[in-house]
Amino acid sequence: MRRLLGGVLVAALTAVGAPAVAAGWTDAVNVSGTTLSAATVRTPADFTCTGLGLTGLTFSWTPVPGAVSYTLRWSGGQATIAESSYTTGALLAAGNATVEANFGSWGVSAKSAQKGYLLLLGGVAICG
Amino acid sequence: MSQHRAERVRRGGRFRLLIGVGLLACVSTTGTWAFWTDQVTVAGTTMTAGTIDLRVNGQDAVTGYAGLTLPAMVPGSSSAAVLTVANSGTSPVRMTAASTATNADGKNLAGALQVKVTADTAVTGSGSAATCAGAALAGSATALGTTLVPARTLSASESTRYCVQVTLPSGAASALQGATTAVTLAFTGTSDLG
Repeated sequence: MRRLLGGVLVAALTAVGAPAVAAGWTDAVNVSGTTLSAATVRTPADFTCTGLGLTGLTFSWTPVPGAVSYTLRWSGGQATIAESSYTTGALLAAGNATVEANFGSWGVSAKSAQKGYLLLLGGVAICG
Repeated sequence: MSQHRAERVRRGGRFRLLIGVGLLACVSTTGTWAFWTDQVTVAGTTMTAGTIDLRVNGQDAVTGYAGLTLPAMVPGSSSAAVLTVANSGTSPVRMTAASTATNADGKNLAGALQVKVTADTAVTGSGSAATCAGAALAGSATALGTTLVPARTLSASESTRYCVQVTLPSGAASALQGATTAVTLAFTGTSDLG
């Protein structure tokens, strides 16, 4: 009991005699609202071709977020481009075209649905 | 004879009475002491408390900050932005900065992102190829969730710029596809310069 009282007394004296802790003023500024998201490897949608040309057709598709490039393949040729449309040079024969999106080390998307095109008389191409 | 003695007794009583009255008068009368004094007043001193007012891009709180936002990162993508940190107060402040990042989807995109902080005053490139071209500040962060830059003192009205770059490294795992993290940069100034 005596020890207990002594302990309480020491604690009380310590608390009374403890120096005040100085606290500086602070001011905080938060910069919020930044969102970072990783892409998902997806196949280009809305693949289509337009135009009627003597020298080629223009293929286009909806851009895929995160894709670093696209590979367009048609019968007898291919092109890798950053944009979401491409106009071919002269087509030599009728055929089909597809496009796929490239995601760097995350690989390549599946191929889009095929788009056919025809060659009419005189070398005029038209989308099928 | 007895008459003479009575007279002596009466005189002695008067004498003692006189002495007693005199003593009482001395005791009950306080002396008056006067000193010369002189006084000098020092006036005109004004004590004014200083202020600390840390601001980033001129604001006390930056919400909806889209400068670093990048919606579809792939391995090799990077985002960068320049932030201006200023002490708009009248007292110097000791500034610290740290970043936090969420992991709500459990994919830990934040853990995969690399951070670089430089003293560049402008970003190089744009979009998913924006970078801070200069050398990383000594002691600055290389990842999210840590101290962003070493503590430093900003004098009254002093400002500094930091270019912050966040990169998804080329070897990022495919499991990170579709992951999202929300990043907050916290700048704190204190009057305690120690």
